[in-house]
Amino acid sequence: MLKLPFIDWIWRAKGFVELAPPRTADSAFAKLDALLEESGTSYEIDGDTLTYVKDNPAAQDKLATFPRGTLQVVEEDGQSRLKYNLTSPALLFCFLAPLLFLAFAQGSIILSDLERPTEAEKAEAEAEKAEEEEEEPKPLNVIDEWLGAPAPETLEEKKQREEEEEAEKKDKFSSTPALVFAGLFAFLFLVGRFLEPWLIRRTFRRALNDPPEELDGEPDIPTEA
Amino acid sequence: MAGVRVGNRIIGADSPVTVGWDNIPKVEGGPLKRFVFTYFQPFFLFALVAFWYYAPNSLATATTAIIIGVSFRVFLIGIELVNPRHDSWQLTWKELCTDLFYVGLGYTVLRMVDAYIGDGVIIEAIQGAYDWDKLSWFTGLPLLVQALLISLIFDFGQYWMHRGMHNWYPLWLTHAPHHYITQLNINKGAVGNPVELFLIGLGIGGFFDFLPRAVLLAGTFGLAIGTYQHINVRFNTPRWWRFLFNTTEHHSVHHSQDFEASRSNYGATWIIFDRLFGTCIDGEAEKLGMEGGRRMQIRETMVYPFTEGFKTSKEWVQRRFQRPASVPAE
Repeated sequence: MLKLPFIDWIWRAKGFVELAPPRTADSAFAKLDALLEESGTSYEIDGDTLTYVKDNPAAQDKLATFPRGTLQVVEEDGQSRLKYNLTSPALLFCFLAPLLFLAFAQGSIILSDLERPTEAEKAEAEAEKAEEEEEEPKPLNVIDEWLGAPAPETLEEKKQREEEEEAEKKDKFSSTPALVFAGLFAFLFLVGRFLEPWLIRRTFRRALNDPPEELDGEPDIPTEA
Repeated sequence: MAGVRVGNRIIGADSPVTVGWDNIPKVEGGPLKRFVFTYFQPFFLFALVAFWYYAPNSLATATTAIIIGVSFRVFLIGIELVNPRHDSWQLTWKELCTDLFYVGLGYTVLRMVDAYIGDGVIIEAIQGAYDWDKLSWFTGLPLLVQALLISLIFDFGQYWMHRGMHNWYPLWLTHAPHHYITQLNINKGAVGNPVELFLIGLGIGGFFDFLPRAVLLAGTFGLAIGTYQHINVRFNTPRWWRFLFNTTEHHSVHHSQDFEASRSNYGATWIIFDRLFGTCIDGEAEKLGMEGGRRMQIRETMVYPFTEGFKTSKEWVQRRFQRPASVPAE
């Protein structure tokens, strides 16, 4: 991933977890073994720094959103800390997805413009429609009448509805679905940008500081130093 | 792995598959929870059918159907969080984004493509070429019978298209990416190569004339039954339901990592065609996918049929036309 300091907040999660009790780098990294032993994961330890890469992580891999990252054990402000700097292509994808759907919306507008019938074509279509003699719908089956289902709309009601729809829908393709999905992905990005770093911090904190039996979703229990 | 004999096939030899309804776990919890997750599916089916049956004409529209469809799916995502079938299928933020990307393609690009080459256009062209009118045999039948016919006709087509995809390599190339999903969630039905999603959506219903209300009722069968194919919720599915309809249990078998199991349960809404044609396996599986559960990424999903097709064709041409390496004479 490129190093772009002003915009990398989009796909990067940085932070630290206090190590209580304080741990050496080897001991801290050993506690993270379960996260790094998932299939497709490779990592290197260089002194106090661990660099990992996950090639196409499984859906339930706790680091699936952040397949690349650097972890470092440091002493700062009198505390032992695990500092992390993680990269998420999924967050970047989610950030860019609205642009793709906006492009689809624009595409639908362009196509609708191209497909808009000329006055001559409209007149021809109306003439064809006038030639077609539509029949009143058949009455409902007697069982449906007996059960009280509403009768099908009459020709006049149908004509009225079609006129209303015609007035509302001028284009062959609506850009609304694409705009809705653009908005949805913008919302998902915002959710993910806060949720995923929070989840990963919680995962690290539990892996590093909780007793082994408390790792899976149990409430935090303060550990004694 | 020994597997279990079902007919003349061994199911579960490659990967675990639970065969038989009696072996499937039940909903755990208090009486209220068990009651809700026993009658959830039939309740919503009957409620939605009643709504569409009695809704006034002004409300019985495609727009209402879209609003109900989207709301129901959002509701089901919430239910997945409350009572998951498997923790290993839990919906994550990344999975949700990925799934919704495919759903978004279906609502945008695929709709535009469909407008030019979809089944509606094809059927109109055929009707125009032969000066056929729509076959209006059914419009006098009771609404629910019409709805059943629409659903069954469409599902019959889907059954054979789906079975064809598992048995004819060019079609399989389009369908294979969908089989790389490693867990079931509401939106997983949309995950796959767009060519497949286009093909599986083809139907012959356009040849027939039905009352619009019957079409909406048939759509409800798809929503209130077919949607459960890809759901991660543990239900105590009633016996009659699982005899007639495709369930998440059936569909998990179809998505199993076990090769033989994946060649079963081809129906979409109904399982009766599988029962009729001998491809039904009642059971469930947790380990899903292909190649040991490798997750296929979006980029690969988009190009897979073409890259794999090209690779296979190239290999075939090489085998067909290249002479074997000459052996030096001794």
